[in-house]
Amino acid sequence: MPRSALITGLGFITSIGNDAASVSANLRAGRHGLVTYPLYDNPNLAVKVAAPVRGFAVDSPSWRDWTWPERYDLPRETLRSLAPHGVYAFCAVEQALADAGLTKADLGDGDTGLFCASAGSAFLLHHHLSQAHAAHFERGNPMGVVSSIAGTLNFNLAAHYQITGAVTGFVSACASSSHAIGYAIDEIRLGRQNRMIVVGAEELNAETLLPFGPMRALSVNPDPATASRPFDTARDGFVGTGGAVVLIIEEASLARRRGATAYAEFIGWGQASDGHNIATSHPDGAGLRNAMLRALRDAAVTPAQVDYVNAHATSTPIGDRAEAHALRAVFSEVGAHPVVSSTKGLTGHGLSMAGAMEAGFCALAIREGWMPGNTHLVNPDYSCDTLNLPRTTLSVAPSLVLNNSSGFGGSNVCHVLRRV
Amino acid sequence: MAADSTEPVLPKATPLKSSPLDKFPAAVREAHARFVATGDADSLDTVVLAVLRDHQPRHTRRTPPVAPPDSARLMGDLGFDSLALAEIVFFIEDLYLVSITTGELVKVTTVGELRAFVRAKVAAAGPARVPSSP
Amino acid sequence: MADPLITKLKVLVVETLRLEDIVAADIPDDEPLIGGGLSLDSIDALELVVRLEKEFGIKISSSEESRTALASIGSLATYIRAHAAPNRLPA
Repeated sequence: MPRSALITGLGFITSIGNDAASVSANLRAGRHGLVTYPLYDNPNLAVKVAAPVRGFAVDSPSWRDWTWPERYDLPRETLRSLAPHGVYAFCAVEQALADAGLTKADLGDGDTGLFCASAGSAFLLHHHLSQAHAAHFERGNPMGVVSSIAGTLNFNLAAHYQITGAVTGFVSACASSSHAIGYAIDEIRLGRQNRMIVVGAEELNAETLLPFGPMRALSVNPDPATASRPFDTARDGFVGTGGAVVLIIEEASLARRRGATAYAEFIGWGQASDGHNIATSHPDGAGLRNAMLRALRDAAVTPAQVDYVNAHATSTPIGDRAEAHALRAVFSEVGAHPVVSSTKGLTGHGLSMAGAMEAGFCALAIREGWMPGNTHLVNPDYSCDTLNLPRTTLSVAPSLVLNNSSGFGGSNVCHVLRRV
Repeated sequence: MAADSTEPVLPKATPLKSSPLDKFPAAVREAHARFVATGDADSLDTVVLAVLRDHQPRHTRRTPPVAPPDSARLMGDLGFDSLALAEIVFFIEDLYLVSITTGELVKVTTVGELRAFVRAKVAAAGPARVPSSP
Repeated sequence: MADPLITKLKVLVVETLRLEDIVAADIPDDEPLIGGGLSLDSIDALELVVRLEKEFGIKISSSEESRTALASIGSLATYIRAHAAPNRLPA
């Protein structure tokens, strides 16, 4: 009897809302979370726009200064070793657990695992290393390593929630949390775990985002209403965002026994790489094309059956076009025209968090019966000629959905979600 | 359209160097100031106890074993783990600009030893030293 | 007529431990200090004893003594009367 992976809980800390209801309302209405945002105290900074999380203040290197919404009870012995984005992640996990009808006590059964994705905290790493250098490495903060390096999420959350199942982190840049989801699906399908908590999180600050500037990957458009416009001919780079999104994924019979309701089912996933360049996508989107084909094969569905594709498209000239070519190859060339949209037009690009965030959006869309449009798309790039890119939300319930993510080195992941 | 009318928190301009006791109660900051000015041992005690409290793990807030201060064990009686002790040491190092080695640290196992140790360290470091505040 | 030492001890407990929601005069004489309604924890107990030692010149020397003394405000007053120098007690 094949085991299936259901999404039973979601937690959102994002630029478009800190709960599922707000996120859904903003997605449907096409309301974005971008603002004019000084990432660094320098008027010469070309990057003017970002999409910050609201309701949290985690920009100090000292956790004693941090604030977060009161409803989340974050004890000192957990807080002391978190990165700023760990605070987002903790709150998103609490939200997701509550949504799934689970408590911390349910998680220590050995059949619950935790897969996380973030790039770590460049901000805290810089702070701790500066202190260490100043002291000639004779002294330093005992929490320096565990709060800063990639893996900080899994270290901290596994300890706090006393998780004894599979725990690890994923590092594939903007595909990281999509990898985390894919391997979480496999843990369940292979019978290794009955429940997986998947966390994608990232900081929005100078240290995490601005180094993308010299790569010419960031938009310098000063207008928050147009800076993030995936697939548009005038796109000039991505807009950064931060936060955390958590998915609780459970094996179907466990979910049923618990009386948990599912948002959607993950029926397959696939990955493939471009083998092309460290930072830019294969011009034909070959890796993403293959990732989608593998995902469809894994799910045993055809392109024609797909209703909606949540594209990775970050609003970069090269990346969006590569994805458009991949989508044409997989769908248009076989006469399929699913609705395609990139929700990054509303949220900005969450880097390691993007895959989980957008899987979460897909789950909401499936459960609630709508498909997000491309809000800031005015003049589609020529490569999009054959694609179905509505500008506004369609109140049509999708049954079969794809979620794409692509990362540095040409790593591509695709999930297939189905209505239950 | 913008999603949220609440103002996002903008990152602060280059943060000023602040005192480690900034978020502590006024009485503790006053005790610290008194210690800096007079070297008074009681005031130092107030600060050390406040630092212990600040690092106290939540799970120890049950019916506690009550050992007298001098023999109360940091790890056994007060519930600190070794990481918390390392944090406490780091905090005290920062506050009094002293340096505490691992070898010295392992010898401090009780509250009494901690108080005596900090007193001795600070005295050895010379006239009361604190990081200069802006 | 309230015992001045008992009154003083109640004020001292509230002050030392910054018990904002509690009025000193409302603490019953036989309220357990540890494991009772005041929810004192190990650091609270520590702070209290340090303060008492300074205030009354006493030196609690064992866990037993400490447990006996901190059983309640009443037993604390008894302990202090037995061990403090008379000139440290309130008139």
